[in-house]
Amino acid sequence: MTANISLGQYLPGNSVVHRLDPRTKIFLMALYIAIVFVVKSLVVFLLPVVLLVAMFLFAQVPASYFFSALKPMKWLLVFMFVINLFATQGTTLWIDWKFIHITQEAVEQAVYITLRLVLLVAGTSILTLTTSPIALTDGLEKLMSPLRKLRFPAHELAMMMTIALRFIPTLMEETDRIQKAQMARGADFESGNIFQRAKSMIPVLVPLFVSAFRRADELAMAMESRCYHGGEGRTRMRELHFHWRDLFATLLLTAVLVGIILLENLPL
Amino acid sequence: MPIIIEQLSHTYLPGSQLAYPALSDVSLTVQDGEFLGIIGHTGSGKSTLIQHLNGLLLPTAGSVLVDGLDTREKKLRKQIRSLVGMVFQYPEYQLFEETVERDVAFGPKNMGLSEEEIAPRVEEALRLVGLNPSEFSEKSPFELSGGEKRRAALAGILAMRPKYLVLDEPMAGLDPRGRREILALIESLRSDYGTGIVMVSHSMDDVAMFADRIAVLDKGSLFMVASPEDVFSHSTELLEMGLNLPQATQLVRALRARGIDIQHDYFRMEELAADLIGRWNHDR
Repeated sequence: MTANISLGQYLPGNSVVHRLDPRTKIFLMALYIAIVFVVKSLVVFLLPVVLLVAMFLFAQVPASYFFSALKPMKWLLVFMFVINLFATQGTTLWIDWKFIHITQEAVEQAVYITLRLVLLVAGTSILTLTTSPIALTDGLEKLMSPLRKLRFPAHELAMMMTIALRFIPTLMEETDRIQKAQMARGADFESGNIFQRAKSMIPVLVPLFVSAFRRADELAMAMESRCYHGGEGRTRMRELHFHWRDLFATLLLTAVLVGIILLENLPL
Repeated sequence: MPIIIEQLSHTYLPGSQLAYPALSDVSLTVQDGEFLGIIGHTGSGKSTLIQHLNGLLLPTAGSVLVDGLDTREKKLRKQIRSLVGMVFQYPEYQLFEETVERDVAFGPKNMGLSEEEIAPRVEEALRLVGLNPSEFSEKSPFELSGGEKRRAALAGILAMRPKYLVLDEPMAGLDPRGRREILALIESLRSDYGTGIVMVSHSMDDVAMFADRIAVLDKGSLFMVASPEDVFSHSTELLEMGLNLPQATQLVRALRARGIDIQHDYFRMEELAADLIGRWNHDR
């Protein structure tokens, strides 16, 4: 049982954000990222912060997910903060002690960078939290489909992503099983130095690869026997449709982006 | 000394929203050299139970003592795992070495045995499972047939010379001949080596045929552990749990339903057949 790893981290629900078209959500994320990067001054940073809070509220995602989204990033955040604190040149010295020089500009820069990263990670997590992996790849496929004119295999790529996502839990289960089988034969994955440990993974990796190839083969066979032949002329069971809410959301975020650009560039 | 399971409970992912109690308050003893069958519907906790027998899973509450060794003691785990051989479902998927010989030697090597000790064990194990060492030792395990792979994987466990052998559905996916061969092997391990056998199976006939005692699991609890005779006399309860009955028991039920009075709860076909032939001769 390896259910403790939540990959894809989709949080099923029926909020407005959940019901947005995946294409809209992908586009909105691009807008949101643009907003986060366009902001330059501390006061205006309030806007994306409010936006982030609003997204969590509308998506009905518990605040705990905000922290769990940041958790894998915590050391990067600390690192970015510290680096910017010491490495940024400035004129207004705040602290000047032995070899440590911290300027006002450095503090500002460090806060901006860290805040930007937090906003980015937490904001984009909304996309994966409210969109099922299947809907996400569907949306990506649709968005990429104009590229088909340039012989870009949009459908095939989306199908590969779907299959890869589909097999993550299967392979995790398989790993768990093989690992246990080898442990029952006295294999030890926990002790020894890094080389010994890497070597101890061979009895797990070889059967895992063998079974992954076997599964791939079987899946290909099963798809072919159901006449799968790629994207050309393929219809779908669930068509994506834009609704009014998609338009509203897009307009809202566009307005925020334009507003911020104006705020940052107008002499106030 | 036996394997003693006392008031064992196991909860997956305790403390989280996904917490799932898989076993509750199971007490059971596996005697030296006995053949214990474990039956239960899918999700009844069979796999969870057997993984406790060699410390792959640890009790959430209660304890498991293998010959007096507590599975919770990390230092004892290697010793416990060489005492209790574990054959998972489809064990052929754990083969990984370049040659059959090296794969079979993996277990003994992990036990810290020397090359001189390992070689005869490997040969013995291969012979036991019916793979001629001179023919198969140098082959790649991946070029064997399905049944041969299964037996090679089994040899990998037997080379550790376990005192107890735990098998999870060892015959799954084999043809009738393969099934017979594996069953014969398990029986001979018990009679010739005194190996204690714990076998999880969905085939009531196999369990009825070979087990000294049968443990019935239902929704994570031990419904009963008793002789096959006792267990299969509870046919109504077993059916309610979604379990099957041995063919002989099914036939007894069908005959009784038609008004033929059979007092004894037969669970082996030969015995039932003998009874019926006796009646027939008597009636004539």
